[in-house]
Amino acid sequence: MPVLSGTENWIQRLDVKTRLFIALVFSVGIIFINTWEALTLLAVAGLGYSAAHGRFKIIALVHAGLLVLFCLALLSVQVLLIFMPGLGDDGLGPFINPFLRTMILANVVLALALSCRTQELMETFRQLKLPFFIYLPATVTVRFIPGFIHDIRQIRESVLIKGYRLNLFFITFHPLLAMRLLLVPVVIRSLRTADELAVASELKGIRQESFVTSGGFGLPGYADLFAGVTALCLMGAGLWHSGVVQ
Amino acid sequence: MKSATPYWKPSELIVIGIFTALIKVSSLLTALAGGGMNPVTLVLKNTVATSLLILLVHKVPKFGVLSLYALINSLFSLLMMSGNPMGVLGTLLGGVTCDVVLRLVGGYKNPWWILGGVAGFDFFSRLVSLGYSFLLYREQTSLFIVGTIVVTLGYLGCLIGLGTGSVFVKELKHAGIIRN
Repeated sequence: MPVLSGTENWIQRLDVKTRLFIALVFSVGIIFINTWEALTLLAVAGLGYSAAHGRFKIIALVHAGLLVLFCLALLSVQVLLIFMPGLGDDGLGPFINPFLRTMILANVVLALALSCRTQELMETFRQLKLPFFIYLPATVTVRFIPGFIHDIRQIRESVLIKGYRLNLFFITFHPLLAMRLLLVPVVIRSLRTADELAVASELKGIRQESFVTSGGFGLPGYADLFAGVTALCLMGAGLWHSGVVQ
Repeated sequence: MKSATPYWKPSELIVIGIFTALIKVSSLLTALAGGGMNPVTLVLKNTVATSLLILLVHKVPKFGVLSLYALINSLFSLLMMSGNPMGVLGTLLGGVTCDVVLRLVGGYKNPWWILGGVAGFDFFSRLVSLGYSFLLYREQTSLFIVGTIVVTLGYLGCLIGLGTGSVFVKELKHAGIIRN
């Protein structure tokens, strides 16, 4: 748990709102940018942003997947060019722009996702100071996902005991039976869990008026300001290069 | 001074949270079990998600249930499972729009209107996501077409899910698990 151990990287030290702001600026800005040079600049910046986590294996995996898609598309385009040579008149942009946009989006979202692991997600929700009607279901969602995975594992074992082999072949050729065997027990268990939790919350007196959010929700720090302004400057440069901003 | 009764009861919020987790986990596991781009599990994943969503709306038949589900789902996807902010916007818009329409037609008590609302929510959120994908891939429409085929196949699963969801609700009402 890097946040608690004090070994967090500089992205994790940023306020979660700053990270959300950066993701939002990039995902909206790339719609308007249509020059491959500007998109390349943003893609490199995005790569640096996600690489700051030091999780190079997962970053390499995501980029390998993107590269495979890129190569497949380039191959298709080469085939298209044989029949429609006019397509190549507009230069490199039309071919690589979609992939550069995807790469930018993948990097900013990856940086956000890598900095919010399950345990830290609760802290993130508290930092966001969400209202009670959002905080309670969000907390329940985060807390119960491991429980559901455990339930599903148990149900899978009971299905195996009944003599069904739950593999790709079975699910592909008997989807309804697979759904009936797996989903119905999970739904009934989760409805029971919901009822038990509701009773527990009533008994504990959990309600909106008694809800207290954590403190420490101050002004953004210098690092947040720097990161936010840098993201805006990069996006501004990209928009200027594309001619959107004069 | 007596405080006003809050609109959402904790028990309803808990049901929404549990169903959001359930929909996320079951969709993810179905997709993983299918081994990637398997059209059957692509349809099945959406069928399961829509069935559970219908169950949720029957369990909490209140204005705002779809919006709140969309919000929690989007927030969680964004922070944990890598959704994109514009996809989040699509889901939220879908939730709010369908909630408002359902409220206007007074449909939370009518099973047919609930089916319509969930179908509309699934359609609207996919439409906004596809619109965003079109803007991203506008230079290569062939890529967008492939994406559209995948999304259409997914929506077919949602339509099947409307039927299976209704059957689920009927059975659970019969068993006394859903009392509304």
